Amino acid sequence: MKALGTMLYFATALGWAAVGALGFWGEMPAYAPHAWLSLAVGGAMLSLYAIQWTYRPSGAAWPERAAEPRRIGLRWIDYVKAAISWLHAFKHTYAIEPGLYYVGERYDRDAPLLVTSNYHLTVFTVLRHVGSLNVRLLVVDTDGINVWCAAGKGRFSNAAIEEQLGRYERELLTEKTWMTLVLPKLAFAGVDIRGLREKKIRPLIGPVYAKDLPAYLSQKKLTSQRDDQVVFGFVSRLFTWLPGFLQAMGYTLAAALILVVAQGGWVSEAPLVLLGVSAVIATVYPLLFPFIPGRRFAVKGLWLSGLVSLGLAGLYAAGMLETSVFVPTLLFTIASGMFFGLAYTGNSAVSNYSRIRAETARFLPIEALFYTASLIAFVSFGVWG
Amino acid sequence: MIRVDSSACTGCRTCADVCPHRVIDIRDKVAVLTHEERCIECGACQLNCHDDAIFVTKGTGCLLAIVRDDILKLPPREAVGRAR
Repeated sequence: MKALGTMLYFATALGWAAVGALGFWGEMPAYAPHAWLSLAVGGAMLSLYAIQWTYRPSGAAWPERAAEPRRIGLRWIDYVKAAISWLHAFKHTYAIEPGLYYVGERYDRDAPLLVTSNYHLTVFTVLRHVGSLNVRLLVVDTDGINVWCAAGKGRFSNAAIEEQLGRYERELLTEKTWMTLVLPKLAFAGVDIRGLREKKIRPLIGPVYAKDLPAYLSQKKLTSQRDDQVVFGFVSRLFTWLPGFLQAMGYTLAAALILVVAQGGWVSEAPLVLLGVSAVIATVYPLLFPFIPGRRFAVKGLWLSGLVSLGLAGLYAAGMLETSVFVPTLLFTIASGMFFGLAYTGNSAVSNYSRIRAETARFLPIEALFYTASLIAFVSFGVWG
Repeated sequence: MIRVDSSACTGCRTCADVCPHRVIDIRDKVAVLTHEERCIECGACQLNCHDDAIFVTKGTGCLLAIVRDDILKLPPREAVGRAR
């Protein structure tokens, strides 16, 4: 699967570059801006791969180290790694070495001790907000997975916290009988408060978002954030747009290239229509998520498919699309709306397990049916159209 | 699905404190589901309820996780990249 993903990634990158090159080759000046853009996308994808490959040391185990707190701060390369993690282009979860860290000039036993996961992007986000404060970080081993997902899967747990704390002398961590830890609120799906208290650890429920840490830490006496909650607003959705868009375009570009090869060359505008449909769905869905009718993710996708289909029908009525393009792309559009909707469940912070499980069981076979019908239609029109 | 057993609840408030979507509130010293539709079934309330008063169908509401865990039943994925 990993090799297939890498091949798909390279195919997409080279595809972009090739589309760009074709734009120049066609000697059509009007295409020049598009060609530059395509070349830039292809080049950026290849560069990103090269960077992530360079910063991926071999070997899975962390080095044996003396149990001493280490200083941590952000370097320029962390911004590149964070961008790669954000785009999630390589399905890799960059991990930070677990352990006790401190921010600032020297280790201060009295500084607040914040607990977080060892996903690079998570630590990066925390450091961006507390980088100038006197705090300590206890990075627990979650296999490079973010706080919420790791807690949900039981990796961000009491055992993971105690494992890291156990590496250090208690006197190094605190001089008091009770040790206070500030945990992200989203960790409590895996962290049992009472279990920690039994070990003389006082867990405080910290803010959901790292951006709220400076205000939280400025309190005279740290308390639990009882009313803090997850927000899935426009900015959050905008944050999910680009990775989702790139992923959707990558898969569609691969499908479009297969289509071009299967049809023996550029015989219709179908590949461009497929890319256009995916681009519209992958953009409109996250940005207008709460305004699209329906409670279920796939149903919202279907509404969006309907809207895009209307656009396709308009192009068909205006004679801008052949029947051999219109019919298969219409089927593709219906399948893609549903698929993007279901895939978006992983990006959203509001998806309920039981409902998504039922939705997946109901809609995944339907969209597979529509994708298959689309493929059959493409093949049929290719033969008889 | 989330369910509260009012007879077992002692009103300690921990469930309400750890809930990331403010699904639960304490009224008359008993946990009440005030916004059940917001529940994502993360299981934080159930894990932190020591009166066994809350039941949640815990899971990850994500297509990939459901396909991996519930349909294909694959083992957990290991971290690949390790940042220095």
